[in-house]
Amino acid sequence: MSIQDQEFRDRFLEALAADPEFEAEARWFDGSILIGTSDEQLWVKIYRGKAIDTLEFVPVFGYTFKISGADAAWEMLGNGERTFTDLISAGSRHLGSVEAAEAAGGGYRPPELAIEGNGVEAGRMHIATMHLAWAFASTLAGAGALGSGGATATSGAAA
Amino acid sequence: MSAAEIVGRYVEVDGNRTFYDECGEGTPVVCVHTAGADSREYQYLLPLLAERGYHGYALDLPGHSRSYPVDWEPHRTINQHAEYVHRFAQTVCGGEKPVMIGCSIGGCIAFDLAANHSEDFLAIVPMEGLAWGSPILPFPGELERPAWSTAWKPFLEFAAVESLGKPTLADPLKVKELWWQHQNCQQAGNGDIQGWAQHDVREGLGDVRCPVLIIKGADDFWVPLDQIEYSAELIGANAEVRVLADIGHYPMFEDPEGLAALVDDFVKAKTNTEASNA
Repeated sequence: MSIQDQEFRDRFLEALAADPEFEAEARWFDGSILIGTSDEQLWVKIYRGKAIDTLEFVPVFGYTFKISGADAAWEMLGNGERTFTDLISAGSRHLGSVEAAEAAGGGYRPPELAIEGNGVEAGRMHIATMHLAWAFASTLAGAGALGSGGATATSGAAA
Repeated sequence: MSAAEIVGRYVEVDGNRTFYDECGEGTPVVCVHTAGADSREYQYLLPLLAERGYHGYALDLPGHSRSYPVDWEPHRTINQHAEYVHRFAQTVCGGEKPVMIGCSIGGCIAFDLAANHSEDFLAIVPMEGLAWGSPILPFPGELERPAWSTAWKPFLEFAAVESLGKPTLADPLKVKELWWQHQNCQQAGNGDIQGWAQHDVREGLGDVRCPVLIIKGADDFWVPLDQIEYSAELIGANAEVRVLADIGHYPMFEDPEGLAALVDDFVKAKTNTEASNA
């Protein structure tokens, strides 16, 4: 299923609407978040704690910030293999050897899920973005696109 | 003092008012907390060590919780912290060599102490720390002030919470407790991570003169096992590595009973100290 399909969008927005922590954290945000996977993107308008619109393209006025990564990164979040903090944090932790870490420049390898755009707005939306990412990854997993599983377990623990 | 009772005290270290929790009688053991946290991380371990014949001292590092920062500036290197912990240990332990336990940046502090002051310690136990910190995170100096990074505080809070072992992560009350232990000012926690990112004592670990027990929680994503093993190899025969199943970045918080037994067994096996009175 494409993330741009209406059925996917509906499921994703339902998951977000069911998360009171997302609503609380995003209460005073008026902006938009672009979500990117390997091949697709989804623009989401957030206002007063709710996702009120989605577009399969970026409108002319752009987006406030973007969170994007390869399908594999979203899958690892969805199945609980890696945590949100791990995936958004740069560093050479998972390269498997000291030599590989040295070759990658120490801690300067980019994260698997990149957050880009207005950093100040993204910063104050950090926890909301975490919940949004959990909802997105869980919806992907539930839709059968990227496996199944564990993002909700992490979400529940942190709530 | 009852073996199980923790008493909070203050001591002057280099003229700086420094808080520590104290518990028990016996072989001294100095405990150092993780980035942006404080001595409360050891509140479960200290009484268990006391039952085994240890006199625990868990300090708040300068700039954290109840300890003032030195000259009103955060420490920004692991070595600053390590030298401070060394002087703290010499001040409170009455000339007796202590066991030193540190976790995360405390683990890096433990490696720094192993490199520079191992002769002054009975044993050193780095948990979730490394000889070389660079591969873990980029240097975060440009995020030090709240106005420079609105995400720093929630990032550090969840960097802590999400690195718990899976059994503890499934317990919402324990997650909340750890979250509340990471509520120090941004400059202090950021300075800790600046220290982690610059930390490198790889060249100084060839002559470590006390036994070193290196501990890693298997579930922790921050500290890779290959870097742990590399750190142990640099120390050589005096180092031993233990990987704890179902434990994340906070062994003293996640399994204090198991850790107390592990440390006690190691100290008894590797030194001539008979700390246990159990």
